[in-house]
Amino acid sequence: MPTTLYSIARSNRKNPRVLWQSAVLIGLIVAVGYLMSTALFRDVEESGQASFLAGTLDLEVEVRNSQTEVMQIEAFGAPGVVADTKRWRVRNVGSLDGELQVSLANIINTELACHEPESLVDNSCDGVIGQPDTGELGAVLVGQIILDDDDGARTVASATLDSAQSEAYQAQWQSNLGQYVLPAGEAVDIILEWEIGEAGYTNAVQSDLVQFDLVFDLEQLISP
Amino acid sequence: MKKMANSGTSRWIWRVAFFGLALFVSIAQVTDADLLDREIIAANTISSTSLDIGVRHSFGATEMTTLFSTFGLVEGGFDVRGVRIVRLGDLGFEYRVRTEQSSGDTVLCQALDLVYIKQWQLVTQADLLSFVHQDSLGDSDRQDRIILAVVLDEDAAELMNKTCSFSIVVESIPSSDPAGTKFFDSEVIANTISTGTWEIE
Repeated sequence: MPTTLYSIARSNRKNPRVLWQSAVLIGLIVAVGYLMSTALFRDVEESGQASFLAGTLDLEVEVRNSQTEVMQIEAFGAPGVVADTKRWRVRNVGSLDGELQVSLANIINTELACHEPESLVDNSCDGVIGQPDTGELGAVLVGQIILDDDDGARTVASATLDSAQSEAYQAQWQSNLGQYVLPAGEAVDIILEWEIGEAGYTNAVQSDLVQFDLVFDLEQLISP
Repeated sequence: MKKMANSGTSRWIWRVAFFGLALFVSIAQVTDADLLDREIIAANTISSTSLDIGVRHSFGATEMTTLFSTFGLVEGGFDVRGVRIVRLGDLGFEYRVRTEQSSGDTVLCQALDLVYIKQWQLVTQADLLSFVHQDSLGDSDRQDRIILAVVLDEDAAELMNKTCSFSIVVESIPSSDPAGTKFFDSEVIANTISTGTWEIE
């Protein structure tokens, strides 16, 4: 096929229209070839791991002891609003065992306002209102992911909610638990706890917002 | 000549495309075709509150830095000023109003009295240098209206032609509760009182 197209191009040097038609034809052939080869890879993968073709991998996250699924804490720093806990039940409702991983991701700290007491300790806060990765609140808060299963509750990841820590939770989960298998039909509890770090907090964190995603992954077990 | 160059370029592009595709096919051994289910609870948020005390003129919105600037005060005389203590942040707060001498004649400062009127009611009257008053502004309160008067009731020659400079400090009171707020604010208002002369009775 390439030889034929090349011959066409060569024999029509003086005819650009034919040349462009040839180019379009070649593009189509490449696209079809790519799609066909992609499908071929999937066939190979599935034939080698035939068992999962007949099963499903499905993760379900339920809320326990809470009316709303998303954690939304307002007025941190007001009397009594300095720590909180939220619990989710994670169930593998598919027919295949899977590797569970829970992490915090996309941590964003934002400055919402700049009151005078804060400006005295953070003289740049007035110019960064609303901009991401400018607030200081996350740096004074410690988030913990606690796994509660048949072996009891234990902290598997702990880090501040600073924007730079977005990767830390996933890394700690992997280093502390390795491959954590959630069998089909089984469930475990995941607890997210946050509190003030040992250093406490100051006026620098006034009117700040920290936002993050909680990610639950259940991945197919790969045979060695 | 130009057409020949274009033809050469086209040929080169096709060759690279085919060789690239061939290379991709030869080295691809696995594809990311494993099963994954992901649940995301997105946009969880924790936001902090704020505590901010404002001291404002009784008649306007501008921030107050000076309250009393009184000259020629005589025995039996007094001067009156108004101030609004305003909640600018989200949190209400307990606050303390106190004074401290910043400079000037201590004898005169000790001879002066400070009268504290809130919401048109007399709250307290005390020696200027030992004045302390505690109050609070709730989460839903906007402001406290305060009237302050400096009074000179002592009659002595040593008080004539003297100056007393002092600060009125309005500050939030830190909570003794470990779970109480750690946010804090303080405002300082400068004052100067100068006496004139009068006949001693």
